[in-house]
Amino acid sequence: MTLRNILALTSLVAFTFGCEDIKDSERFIPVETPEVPETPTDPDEPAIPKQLKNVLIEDFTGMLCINCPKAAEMVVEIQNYYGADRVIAVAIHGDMPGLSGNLKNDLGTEYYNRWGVASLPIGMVDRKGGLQNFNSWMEIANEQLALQTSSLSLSLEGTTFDPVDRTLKVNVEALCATALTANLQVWITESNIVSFQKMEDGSINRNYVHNHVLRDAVNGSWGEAIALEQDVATEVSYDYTVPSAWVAENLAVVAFAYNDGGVIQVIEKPLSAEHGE
Amino acid sequence: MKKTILALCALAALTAQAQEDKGITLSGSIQSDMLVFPEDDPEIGTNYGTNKDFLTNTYAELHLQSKYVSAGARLEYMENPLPHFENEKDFAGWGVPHMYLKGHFKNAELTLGDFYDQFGSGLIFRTYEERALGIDNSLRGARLAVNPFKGVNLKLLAGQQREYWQDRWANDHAPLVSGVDLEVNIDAFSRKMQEKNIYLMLGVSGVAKFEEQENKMMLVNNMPCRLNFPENVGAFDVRANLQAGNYNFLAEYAWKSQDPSCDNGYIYRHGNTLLLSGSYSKKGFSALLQAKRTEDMSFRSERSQTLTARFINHLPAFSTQHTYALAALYPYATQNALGEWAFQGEVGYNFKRKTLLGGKYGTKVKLNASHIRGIDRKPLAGVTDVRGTAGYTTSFFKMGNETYYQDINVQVDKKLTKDFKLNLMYMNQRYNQFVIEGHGDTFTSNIFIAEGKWNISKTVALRGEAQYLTTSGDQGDWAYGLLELSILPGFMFTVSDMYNANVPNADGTATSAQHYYNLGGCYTYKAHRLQIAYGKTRAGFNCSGGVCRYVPASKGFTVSYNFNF
Repeated sequence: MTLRNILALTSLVAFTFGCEDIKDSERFIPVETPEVPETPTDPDEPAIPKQLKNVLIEDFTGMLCINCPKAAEMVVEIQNYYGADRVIAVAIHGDMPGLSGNLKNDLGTEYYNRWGVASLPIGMVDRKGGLQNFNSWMEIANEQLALQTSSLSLSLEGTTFDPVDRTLKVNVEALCATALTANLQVWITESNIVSFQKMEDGSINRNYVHNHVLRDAVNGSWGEAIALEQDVATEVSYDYTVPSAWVAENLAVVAFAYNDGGVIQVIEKPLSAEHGE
Repeated sequence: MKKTILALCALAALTAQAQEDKGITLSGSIQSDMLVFPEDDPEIGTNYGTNKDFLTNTYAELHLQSKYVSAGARLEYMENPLPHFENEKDFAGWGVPHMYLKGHFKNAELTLGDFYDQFGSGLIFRTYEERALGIDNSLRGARLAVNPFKGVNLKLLAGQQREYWQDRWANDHAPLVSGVDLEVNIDAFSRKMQEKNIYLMLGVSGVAKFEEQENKMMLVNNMPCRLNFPENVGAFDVRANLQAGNYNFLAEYAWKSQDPSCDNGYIYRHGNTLLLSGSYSKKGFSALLQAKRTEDMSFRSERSQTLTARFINHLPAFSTQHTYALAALYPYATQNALGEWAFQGEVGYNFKRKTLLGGKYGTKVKLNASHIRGIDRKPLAGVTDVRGTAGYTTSFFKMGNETYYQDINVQVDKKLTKDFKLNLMYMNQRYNQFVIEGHGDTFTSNIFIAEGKWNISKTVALRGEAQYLTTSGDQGDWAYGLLELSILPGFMFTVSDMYNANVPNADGTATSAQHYYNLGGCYTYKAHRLQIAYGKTRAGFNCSGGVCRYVPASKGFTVSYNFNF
């Protein structure tokens, strides 16, 4: 093998394995996202405006789960883009040996068992398509938000909290453009909980901020059945005593209606809004 | 557990038959590391769950060799792996993940199946197995090594990389890696060079990775989009190694095409590494000087992979891998994606016996220093989200302001009497915990080590170590002591203790003083070795060659069995 041949082979190797460069203008492939619809002007449309479709993300997570912080980051990213009022997240901590910490509760464990949660992190978006890896949450949220409006409108306007006796009066108003039979679920979540979290490299971050942690169900683990008539507003109320260990201004009430087809509509009201903060 | 016992019995039966027979050689090994009845100890931060009495990483290998054909396989059992491995998704499992068939004829060798290899220093290609870190990035495919002329070595290889228990070749979309390596020993063509004992090797390598587009929607600068990933990522490496007399010089340069990945934050830039090394060695004296600049050289076969899986390359570490416990407390992890400037120097001298400094038996002194800092990185003007951009600008010869790691140590080995040998070491270490571990600050430690070995008789020896680390950072000072009694032909007993006064508990709500004690014994009989110990192990990083894995705290009986045949 002559020196010339060696140099030629060297150049060939460099050329062959140099591969393609992608220019600045070719690096981003746009993805269509749902636009906020205008108020309908068609006189045949019902006079009651439809509510924008919100999306529920149920994030099954654990304090000793090393990939769970990445899932939480995905939730933040989705909420930052679409708005935290359009994408409502709930972090569910159940009992999973070696992965759960002191934020776990029996309610979370019941949901783990019901949905067959065998590893973390995993989640559901509007309960569409079952359990999904967190890399798929944005796609599904995008698809659900593309529905634009929901036939069901929910409101928590009448919900109040008395800081003296820590009584939470949850008031849910529901109005549907069609007759609907569904289950209404009301949860309480707490954010800004500073506690430990195992990170991806296995080390412990002792000042991790846990948000949207599911604390309890106000109206039972699976909610209660409601039957709505077309265009007839329905109101349900619940009383709940908030434990003293929970920080009231970090709490939120999440109400959603679901059936076998998934989550129809979801709404959230932070108690800090109630306090005027 | 039953499967492990059955596999061990089968191998024991085969071993009984293992003889050289008709030119066929059978060889193999068994390695089983076990943690038995692990105990939860919240004060040191352990958490095993409710049903794990037995954790093990067990490996059993068998190799058949003959004149023209070799074959081998490795059984691995990690259904309930040791504490520092279960956090990697998919690590748990068992099966035969490694098998090969190799044919050799004259100057060619063809391997089908799983194989390991390295091009040059490994800057663009190194597949290897490191059990302590749970690394096995072998390729499954084909490898051809040819020596067409004297002094010329050519390798061609291609395959799919192992990722724990994923079924390679069953996945049509799995990434593919291919490579070619050519080394030419110029001295083979020059009689003059041979006469003068001058050796010059020139090498060139190329590696290509093919991975399909990833349809992952993300928000970049608040814009929902998908990144257009390059499906073909290539790298090449050129190197020259000159050995003349007592001198050895190596210069190696590697370059990688655009490779946006989770490691580098999905930026589009070319990676490169320049490595220069010079050494001098003669009886009684050695010197080494090395420099390396690395920029965006994390190279994996899957762009979204994290932690230790699927690396195609391996950049050599420029920090000493220490064996003394406290010197290895804060090991350095090579920053392939972030980039680094690394320097290492070492001088060793042997003061001859019966001289003033050598004393009656001679004295060895070694001075080693390594310094690693960041490269010059300037953020792009007006860019807050670097994904899809070049990431930063840099000047090749300029260095960053941040020191990542510095280690200056001096060791003295001296035999004081016919039966007693003393080793002393002092080390000054500067450790950037935030860059290396992702939390904390930079702090400096001073480490003092003394080791003595006393040959009490022809069959009994006693070795002791005393170590102290003083620092104002992280958990503060550490103390360590060890006594090891060897009784030939096969027994060894060890007792050790590592003490720290500020050990955080499992959820970080409190600290406590802890003794990480360990009592154990070891017996070696011919090719068998059995070690049993009981004690506590601290949480920390286990590193080898600059690659690190976080090891959680553990407590319980550890059993290790090794057998080679």
